[in-house]
Amino acid sequence: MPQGFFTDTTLCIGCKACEVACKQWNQLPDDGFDFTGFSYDNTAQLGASTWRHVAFVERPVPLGGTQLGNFSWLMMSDVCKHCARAGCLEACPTGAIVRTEFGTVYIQPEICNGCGYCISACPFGVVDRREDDGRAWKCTLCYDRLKADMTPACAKACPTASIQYGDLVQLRVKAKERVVELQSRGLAEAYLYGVDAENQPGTGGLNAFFLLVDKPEAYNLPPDPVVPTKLMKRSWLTMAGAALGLGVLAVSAVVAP
Amino acid sequence: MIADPETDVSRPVEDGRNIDPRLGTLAGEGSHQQVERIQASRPTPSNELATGTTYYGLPLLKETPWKWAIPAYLYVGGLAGASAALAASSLLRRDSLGTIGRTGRILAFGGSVVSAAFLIQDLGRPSRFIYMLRVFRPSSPMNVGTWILSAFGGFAFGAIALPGRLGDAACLGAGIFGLPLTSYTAVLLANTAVPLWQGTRNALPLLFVSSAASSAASALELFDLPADEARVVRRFSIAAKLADILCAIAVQREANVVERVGRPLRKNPLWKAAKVCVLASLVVSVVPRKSRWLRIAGGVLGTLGAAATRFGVFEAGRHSSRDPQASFEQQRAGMSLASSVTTSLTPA
Repeated sequence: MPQGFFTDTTLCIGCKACEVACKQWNQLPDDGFDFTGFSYDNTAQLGASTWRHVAFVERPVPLGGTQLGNFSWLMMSDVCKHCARAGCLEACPTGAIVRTEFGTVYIQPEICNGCGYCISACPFGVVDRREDDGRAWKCTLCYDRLKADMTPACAKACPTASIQYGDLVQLRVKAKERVVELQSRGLAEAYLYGVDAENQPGTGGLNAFFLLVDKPEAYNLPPDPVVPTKLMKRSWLTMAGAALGLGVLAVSAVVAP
Repeated sequence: MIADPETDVSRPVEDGRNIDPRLGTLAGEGSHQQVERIQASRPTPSNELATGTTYYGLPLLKETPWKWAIPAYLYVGGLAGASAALAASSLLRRDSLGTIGRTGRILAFGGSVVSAAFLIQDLGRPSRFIYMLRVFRPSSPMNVGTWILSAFGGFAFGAIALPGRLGDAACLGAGIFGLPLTSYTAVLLANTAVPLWQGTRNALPLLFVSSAASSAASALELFDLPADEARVVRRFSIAAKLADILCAIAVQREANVVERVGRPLRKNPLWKAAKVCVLASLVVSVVPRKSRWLRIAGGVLGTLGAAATRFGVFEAGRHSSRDPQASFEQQRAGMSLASSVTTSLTPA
């Protein structure tokens, strides 16, 4: 039964407890302590050793249904999307990246040989290679905790239930109800990002989907991501035709009188 | 009692985990991640001017970790594949084309060895290179390509090591596997989220094949060939270089469908130099009854052009992955999937 995350960004308060819980549970090294100047975001991106990242968006426009003046502060805890059709998984040449029994996408560190192909194949820029380690890393959706029937560390630590973990079918129902509720309260811009295959055909839906209130680009999410493999049929055919053309050219150059 | 970490000399190298290993064994999912140096994860904002909505101009995608060896392989692999195809074709002639056959076989085998070396040294864990062959995965062009290169390498070795008919049979095998070897790399690049590579997915295989052919022709032009073999190389060379130029134009046109996607290729100095070199090389090849030095000049120009083509496409792609707007505009323009998808796009 596929499990996943529903990240409701309207509930996020930017406390970064998810980032800390993730680092601590997974025993990941820190990324250095650095100020970026991008609002409260000093993590900046997901990476090999950063599997949760809270984005902070400062906007000079009010949020629907509020009377707080011309300002709104959006926060979103970003994570690997565990796509139903995952670019990294389909590109992986060694079979190191697998689909687990929970429907999540998992990189087996003992198999990965660090070819780096998954990094370019991910339309969300999630996977990264740690240069001193040589392998690709990303969120495992706490595979070890799931096997022990526990909630992933980030969802467990989230104090506002912005990150909700559970059975994907139930999460989708809950998320759709939440959008209706928010819209009835005046937040007309609330919508779901990647909730299912219909919503995001390029990836077949995300096992970690989001409720957003601005366009995806504002959160550094692609508006219409696609698994690169989905587009490749014509490329393979063109390649085959071109390769045959080379064969014909070589033969005719040789046999012509 | 736990010793003060500041004074305890037995404390292991600071690895950014802030966990005292004496408290227990680290068993977390990320505990095996080796740390030599704590790296700030700060990405560099795109240096292109942000026009639309972006997240502080930060890149959407992760840049490829591939270094110079990969574009170098794109060139060498193409050269080896096309040389093998030419050597195999020369078996069809009753009067054997000795020099083309011999040189082609050497270029094919040498190229396959150099290719493997380039690819392995670029891995994050080179000692695990053989894991590439633990599965067969048609969905991964890199996996398919590794099988093609392995088969090619085997046949190319046979073509120089085996005597007589057996060697010829191996040469034919190398020629057959050489054809996809010249072009699977284009599908490999296209099968990524990199806007430029994904955006040129139809023309790129054509360019890589013709560029491989023109690099093999240019390499053969460097050798002293008998008159009848020089004629064969000249025919092959003119056709290949002409196709190369036309395909480069096709790639640029396909990239330009979304202005922002085509921009890094258009501005890339290597890409511009490549076009000039290939064109100059074509002009030299067309000149009839030329001196040996002129032929060598044509070969050198063609070789530079073919190498610059691969490095140019690679560098421009890397550049385009730093620009979040390139991906956003490409996807908003409905270029990433069937245009029907755009109707379900989230609010703008």
